[in-house]
Amino acid sequence: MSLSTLFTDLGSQAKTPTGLVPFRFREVSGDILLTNFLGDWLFVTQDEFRSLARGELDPAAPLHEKLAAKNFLRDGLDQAKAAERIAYKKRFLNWGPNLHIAVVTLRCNETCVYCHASRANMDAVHTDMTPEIGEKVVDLMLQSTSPSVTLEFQGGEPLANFPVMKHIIEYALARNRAYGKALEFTMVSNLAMMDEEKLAFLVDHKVQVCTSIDGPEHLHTKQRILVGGNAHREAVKWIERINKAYIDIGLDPTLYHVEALLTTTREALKYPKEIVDTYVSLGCRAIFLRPVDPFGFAGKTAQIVEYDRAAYHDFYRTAVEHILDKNRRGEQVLERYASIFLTKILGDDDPNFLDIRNPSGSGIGALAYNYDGKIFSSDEGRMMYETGDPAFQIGDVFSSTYRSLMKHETVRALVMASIREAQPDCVNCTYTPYCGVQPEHSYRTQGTIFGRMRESTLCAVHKGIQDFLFDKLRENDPKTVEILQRWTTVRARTHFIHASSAS
Amino acid sequence: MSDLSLHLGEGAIRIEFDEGLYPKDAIYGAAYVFIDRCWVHLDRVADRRIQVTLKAKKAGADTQAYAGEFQNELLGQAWRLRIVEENRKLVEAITARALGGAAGPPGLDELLSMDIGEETAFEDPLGIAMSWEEKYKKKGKAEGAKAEGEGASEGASEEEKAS
Amino acid sequence: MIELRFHEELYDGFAIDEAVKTYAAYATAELSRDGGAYVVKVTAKPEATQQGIEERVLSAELANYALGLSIERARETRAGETAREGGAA
Repeated sequence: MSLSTLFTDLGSQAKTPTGLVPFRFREVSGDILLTNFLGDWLFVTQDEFRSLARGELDPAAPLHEKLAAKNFLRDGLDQAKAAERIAYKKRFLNWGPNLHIAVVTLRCNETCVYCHASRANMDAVHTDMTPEIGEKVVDLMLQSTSPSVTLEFQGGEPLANFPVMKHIIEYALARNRAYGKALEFTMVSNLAMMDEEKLAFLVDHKVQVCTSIDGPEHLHTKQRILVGGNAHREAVKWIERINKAYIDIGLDPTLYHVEALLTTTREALKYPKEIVDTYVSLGCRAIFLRPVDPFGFAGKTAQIVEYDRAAYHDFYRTAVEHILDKNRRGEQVLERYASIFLTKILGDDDPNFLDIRNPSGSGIGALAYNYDGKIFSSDEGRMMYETGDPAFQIGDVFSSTYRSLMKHETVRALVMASIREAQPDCVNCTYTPYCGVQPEHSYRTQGTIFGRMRESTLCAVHKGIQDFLFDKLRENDPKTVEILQRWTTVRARTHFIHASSAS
Repeated sequence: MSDLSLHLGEGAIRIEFDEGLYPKDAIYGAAYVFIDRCWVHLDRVADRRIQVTLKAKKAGADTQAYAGEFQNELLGQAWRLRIVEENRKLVEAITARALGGAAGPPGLDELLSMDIGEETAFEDPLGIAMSWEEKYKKKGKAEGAKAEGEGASEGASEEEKAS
Repeated sequence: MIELRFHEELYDGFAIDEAVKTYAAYATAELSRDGGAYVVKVTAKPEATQQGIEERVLSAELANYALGLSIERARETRAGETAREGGAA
């Protein structure tokens, strides 16, 4: 039986099964995956599904018990508990943006083929954020209704404007004494401008460091050009140095180490295993196999870096199988996309990853502050501004109040456009309980914040990953499932949290 | 009616849509998505039929592909109208919670700066102060509703007298 | 001169007025009504043609502007009606 012909074959025998909660279905490797509005799921055989499609459900059959156990039957559904589960998973709606991205400069010492940042040359000091603007960024950030906030420094290359970064960190720590937020700092840097003095400050002030590693050296240096130097060697040198600094102050290296991010370009597709091995050799415990996206330079260099999503899926599967193999041999490393989806699928929780959230984190979960003080619904929105489209600017640090940002009509539109249950295709999609699409991506690629999911590369990526994960769950190999379950465990990195009691 | 395709020259594409399948609102929505990339003109060619004329603005761009995308977008817009209507309460609840949670309550400064005076005090944009009858009476059935209302109120008056 | 016709049921008269005003620096326009249509006769000004602006592109952009604004106004009207109908949820 093919699912696509089942209902045609059944003809007039097709009946809506009664007594079931609303659910959606999808064929995964020959079995049929059912998901319900709570995010519960189970696999049924084709014969079982065929009987459901005929409106048959024998109360004495094993199928009945399977469905009851997973909250697919109306009778016996504990509605109060169901409401509690939904409220818990959507608790992020109670709070405003926890991620605040400060682009402290556009100046950059590297040129990368997929650059998001719309970089500027190192002499373009007019693209440096001023201390005054930095202070206003902090003032707005601390007014967020979220009890915890993370200030993420980006660029360009943020180390190119280190004095202002330092000032902002010190100002934020001082101001937070009045607000009492759980405050964290992160920095996304190519590390080529790092030195011991900067490192000492960053370690002292508990700034989490994140960098880009595109894979083995030949791949990395092909895509990331450091004039007069080797981008890969510089990054690796400082990754090792920073990791040692964490050990020296007594931190557990399995938990505290430099995080590295991958951007999967067309060239990278050739090296799934080599990329994984490179990350593991650098002490990374998480690899985020992000596909290239259409923002910034990547939009312009699409012919060089882009690829069809089937090629990405092949790459992803090969890489993750390799990661699973490593896990089976005792090495603990996870893939971040998988971890995000699995937290929702297996963990009955939401990891609050803003780009795969429903509704998305645009505006209400994150804000991006450009060097000139303009404020955007997301970093992607900011990148679009830098490439000529101000659609996602929602204010500026000089004239906007925190509430005016949250009440901005663009933020409202982005919330509504990213509610998956209200979008064509998603409304019927089996993966809707776990999925999310960033509306800025839809706007950039299709001209509308709602998007057309059948044509969306982001939707294709998400579906492909979830198909892969559910196939693993369907196979139900105990060791694999144990590994995937482990990937939903979040070990809090409390060292980086500056907790302050409000005075 | 105007045939904009004549003015736009060769390559303009005309498509007709049945409003029964594609409501005017959906056609508006799809048209709006394309007015940055295409010149778009709408015309009514018959009862319940709207014609859309499209041409890519950039020389060399593929108007045929845009026309295909337009039709896909129109399908999505038409379907979304129905979905949102059916799921209106869910959309409203999530949006209200999201924006309320993010914005938080107004601070004193904001309250003090609100324009609450003689002219604005009795503004009622959401119609909260309107009676149920006023809000929900249907056009064209106003007289019937009024007659029913009078009948009901007479009945109610009698009940009141009885109690 | 290019004659544009905008069906009254699909375009907003105010939006057409605004479109004409917006492009006044580049074109003169004669407005009238005929049958069920707003008729706009667009003639590019010499200063526009000297800049290399084609009359038909000008009229197409004016028509786009009128369409965009008509859609926005239709949405605003609808939003207002919806708020009044369902406001006391």
